[in-house]
Amino acid sequence: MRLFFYNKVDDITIFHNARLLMESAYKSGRLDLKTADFLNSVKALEDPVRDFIDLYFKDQGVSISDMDKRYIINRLYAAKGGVEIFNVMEDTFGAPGGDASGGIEFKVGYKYEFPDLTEVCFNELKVSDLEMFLSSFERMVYVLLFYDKIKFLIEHLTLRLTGTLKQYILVSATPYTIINTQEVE
Amino acid sequence: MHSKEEIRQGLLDIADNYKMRGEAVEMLVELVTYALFHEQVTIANTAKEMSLTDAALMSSKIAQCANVMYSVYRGKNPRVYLNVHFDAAVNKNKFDLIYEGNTFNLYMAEPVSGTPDGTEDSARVIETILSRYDVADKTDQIDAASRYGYELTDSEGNAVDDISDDIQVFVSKSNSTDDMVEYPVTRIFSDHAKSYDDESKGLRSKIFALTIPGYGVRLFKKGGFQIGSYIRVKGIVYSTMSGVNTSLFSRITIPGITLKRTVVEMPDPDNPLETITQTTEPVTYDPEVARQGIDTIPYEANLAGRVSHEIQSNSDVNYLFSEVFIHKVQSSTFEFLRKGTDGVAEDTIRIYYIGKQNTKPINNADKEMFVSEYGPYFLNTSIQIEAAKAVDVSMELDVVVDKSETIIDDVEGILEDNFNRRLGITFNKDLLRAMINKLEHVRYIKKFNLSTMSDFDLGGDCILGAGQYLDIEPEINYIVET
Repeated sequence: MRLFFYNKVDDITIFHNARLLMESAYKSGRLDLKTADFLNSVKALEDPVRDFIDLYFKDQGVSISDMDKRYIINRLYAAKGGVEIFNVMEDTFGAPGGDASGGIEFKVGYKYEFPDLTEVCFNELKVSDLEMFLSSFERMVYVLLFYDKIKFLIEHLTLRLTGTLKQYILVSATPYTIINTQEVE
Repeated sequence: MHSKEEIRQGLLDIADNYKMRGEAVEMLVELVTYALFHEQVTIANTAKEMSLTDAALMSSKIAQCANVMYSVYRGKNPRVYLNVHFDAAVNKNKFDLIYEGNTFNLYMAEPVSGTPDGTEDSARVIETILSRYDVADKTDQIDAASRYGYELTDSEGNAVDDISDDIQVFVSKSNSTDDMVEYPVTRIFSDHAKSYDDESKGLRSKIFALTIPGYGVRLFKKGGFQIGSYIRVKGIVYSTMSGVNTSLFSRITIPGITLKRTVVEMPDPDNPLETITQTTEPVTYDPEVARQGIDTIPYEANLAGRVSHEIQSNSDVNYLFSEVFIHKVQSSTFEFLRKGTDGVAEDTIRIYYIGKQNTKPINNADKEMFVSEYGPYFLNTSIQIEAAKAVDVSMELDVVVDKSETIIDDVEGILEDNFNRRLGITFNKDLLRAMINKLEHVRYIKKFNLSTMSDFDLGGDCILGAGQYLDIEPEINYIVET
């Protein structure tokens, strides 16, 4: 609960006391009061599929509604147990239209020689953190398909550097580290 | 959660620490106590609404169902059947307005075209949908926000509520409204997930219509919608027969059409040597099929979530059958029959169902559709569908009551909630007797007699056969002892 009142009102004793009481009630922890933020933590158990989808769309800078995310999660779970999951990935992660109309390209190939996924090949991959992307992807595939070993092959990788540009007044210039992207196998 | 007294005591201690004193402080403590307690109650209630089983509000349940892509049934409007003779050429598309009255409109359930055939007697029955509201009809261009899912909204961007299960969707292939084609719509996620486009066979993937809070719809197309393409959605707004004066049906007039009563003589299906007379009235109707009830949703949605919308085993046939025929089936069960048992020539899944009241029963075309569409999901494709049979039971009661009041509604409530029209239950007459005994104003039951014309044994714990349900009819005699 939040109370908003003008600063000068705080000079009036009763309002000042009300603020003190409420602040202390929350801060002391004695009453273990919950705030509305608590509701955000009420969610289902850990779900690697949802985690990957959250990561992927955030990485692409695409805003997507919760309902649409859940649709994609359910599509993937509906295909669980078969290589159909890769078709669903192409179907849903790569939005129709490709880059030209604002969509995303996502192409993934695979070779599944039971029990090994001998090749998961991304034709186009644009991510900001390759390691995080691949580990998250692997965790997702782990809950959707049985496999013993998995090997990734990336044909074209575009690493996107993200960060917040801050202005500093510098006495001396600091050189940037130049990152060269290269094909990774 | 802390009680109000605990919060008050906590605040008093805080006030004491700050050396706050006086009546104003006591009043302040009372005020803040109430505010904090109220907040905790609100948060607890909101958390409860985030659970499918605990939620009390229908909108919360619908939202939880949407999480597992279970589309709550949005109901089916009343159907009005017109026995029409064409006086002029008439062409109507699906959902076209065919009659506009003061209190209700009629829309075509299917496309119809007819021309005068030169006779006076010819007539045929056409099915129309009764609604008290205009059809929701909107065309939109798909943008980045709607490429994954499109929500039917009004011109101000608010979701259109109360859409029934009758919905029609057209999607264009290009960035133009000229080449729009109709896509089939389903509320069953597995049907949507399995469907695919194959132009050579004229197949189109099924659009998934997900019910959202307020009984609106969010539509999903396999592979998403193409940005820049167009979508047109037409939906019948849900309404019931309540407030509709059926005597006005006789005053329905439609340009180019005369409503007729027809009398046809046809061979008796039971005795081909005889003929029977079949009369078709000018106007007949079926009432609405209600929206899904709040009580059954948690069970059905959990089932949908548990099978991940995939039909994986024979036992899932029950889920699938009751979902496909949700507008006709109240409940269903099944048994697996080995070859040779009960006269079956091969291993067979036999489904028994109880139909919804006031709706048309499942016909042969429905059965054939189900077997051909879903049969291949199951290991054995032999599926039989049969209506469950009622075991009629008369219940005679002499009840001693302390007040001259009827208990028939309460007794019927007990029967409806626990025994009548339920498949696969175990019936115990002592339990029924005990339930009635506990009713208010009942002092004791003097006589409790159950009888049936069937060979069903009503003693002890009676287990109903797979295709049987009870229909207990109570007859109550009252003895008042004050």
